[in-house]
Amino acid sequence: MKNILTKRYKKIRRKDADSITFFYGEKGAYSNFGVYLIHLSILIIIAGAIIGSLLGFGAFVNIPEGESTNTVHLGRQKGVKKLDFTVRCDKFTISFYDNGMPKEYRSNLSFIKDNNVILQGPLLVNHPITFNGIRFYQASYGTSPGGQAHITVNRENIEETTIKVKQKDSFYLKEKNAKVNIVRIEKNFMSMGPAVLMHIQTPEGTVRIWVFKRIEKMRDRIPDLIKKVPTFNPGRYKPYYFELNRIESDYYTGLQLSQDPGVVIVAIGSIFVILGLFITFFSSHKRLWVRVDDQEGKTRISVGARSNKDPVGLKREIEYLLRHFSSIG
Amino acid sequence: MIINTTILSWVTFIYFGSATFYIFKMVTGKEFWGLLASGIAFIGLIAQTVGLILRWFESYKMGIGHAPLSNLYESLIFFSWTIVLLYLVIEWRIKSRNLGAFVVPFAFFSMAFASFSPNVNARIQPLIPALQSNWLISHVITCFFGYAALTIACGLGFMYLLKGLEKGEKPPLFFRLLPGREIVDELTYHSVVIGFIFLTLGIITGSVWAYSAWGSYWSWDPKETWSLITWLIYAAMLHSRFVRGWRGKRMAIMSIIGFASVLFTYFGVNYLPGLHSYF
Repeated sequence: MKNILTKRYKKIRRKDADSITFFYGEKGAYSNFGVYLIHLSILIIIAGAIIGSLLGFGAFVNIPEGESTNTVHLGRQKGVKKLDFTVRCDKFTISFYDNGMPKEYRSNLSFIKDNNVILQGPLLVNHPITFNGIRFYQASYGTSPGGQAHITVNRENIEETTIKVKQKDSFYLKEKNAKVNIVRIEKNFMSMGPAVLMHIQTPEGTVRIWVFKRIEKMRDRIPDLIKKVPTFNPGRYKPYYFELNRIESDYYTGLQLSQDPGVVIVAIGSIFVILGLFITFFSSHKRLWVRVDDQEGKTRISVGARSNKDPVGLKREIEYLLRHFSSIG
Repeated sequence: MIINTTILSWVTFIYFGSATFYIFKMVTGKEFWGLLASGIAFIGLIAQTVGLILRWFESYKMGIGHAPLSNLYESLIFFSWTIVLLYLVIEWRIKSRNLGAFVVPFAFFSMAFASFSPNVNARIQPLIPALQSNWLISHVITCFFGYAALTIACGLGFMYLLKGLEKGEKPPLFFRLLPGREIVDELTYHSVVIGFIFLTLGIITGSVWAYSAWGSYWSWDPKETWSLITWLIYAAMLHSRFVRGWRGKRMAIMSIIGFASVLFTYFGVNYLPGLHSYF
């Protein structure tokens, strides 16, 4: 009988008195602590969250392709924060599925400290990069105002050169000792398509020209356009003729930064919540009293039991024990 | 129409049939209808499983392979799948077919919404970058098993309240067939416990995922906030049972209130701006 009990119960006590033997068995005492574990873990999670919000920070920064920064904008606290390293966005790419849904946002980042590239890698959604204890996330992207304009400069059909310029860039027209300043780059200027505004500084004064990509089509629609609006004449500054081939968007990548020393504590708390839930709902503290009376060759076994929960399981347990006890006899 | 959506729209009718026969069973008291209803529900579950697996295969054939858990259509299908699966397990365990009339209709509604609503797109779509994560499967599965268990708790809550309307010496057969109040109360409690544990796991897997996708394990996104509210409602329910000893009618009402919160977490939140907008 003791064997049956020890197989199923951790703690067994036995007491003999004359013809009566008492057994006491107990198991699952830890079950009573499940509830405390859950509530304690929730306090741990709250503590982790408080630590995170006091000692950690969340920030964001937009970095145009090819540029770098060490200043980020704080989210909750407002203001800016200087990092002790520099992040450079080498390239940003988006790819799409055939149906036009976005497939991948990828920023190639370089992390630079004291002019040395320490870490380089692609940053993707769901794949953050950790550097110096700060986690970087691919959060958003966008196109910078302006962009890169591809302009062809034609001189009397003798010479033709194509250059790439950005807003505020300038280049020289050597033959005339003139300087071309790119004042504005517009992807869609007054619904007339891509256009670039140039101010050409010449010894005689400044010449303003709007170079349109679709100038031919515009002239087809309004034949005397150039006469009416001389600044729209791409050949206004002779002997040059400007053509706008296209405007390339400049992407910037939007990065989310976070440093949260509370995460580990929150994670530990979460694991203990789950553990506590399982202990509370799937285990019970069972106690069992068995009394064995031996009288004139007859044996009477009485079983009493109590449990802090799961009365159905307890009933099944008693039935199981009684079945086995009677099979010994 | 692609084969998997055809199968799945048939499953809608199968579950409708099953729900109808469960109700027949409750009205006539003939076990035959119950047996028929269970059999049909089981066939529906198998067909639905096949449909889901085919959909999974088809997504791989399209070159955008992913588990069929990635948009509203797929989540509704999976929701009804978990409801029927969990229900049939309970039916088998308690050896009673009286609960079916209160649970299987939910599975039918979910399927019908997925199949017939013009706002639900049944096409297989590729995964946007935010969903490309291994956490997708574990997060969705834990959440929906939780939702399913809480749906069953709500069905039991209705059952309990209906039983409360029983009057007179010889009430109609329908009322006599409803199981005893204590059993219903006990089952409600067990369903809520299962649902609560899965809901907790769903919230935790979701926050682990958020930590690798959004930069923070908790962002007070409307869906997060509402899942927390739902969690607190069920936590209050369990506490009122343990601490105050609430039973019966109060529990039944709380299980229905909790389910309303589940539904709002699932659907209502989609009309608020937030990070979960694809579900």
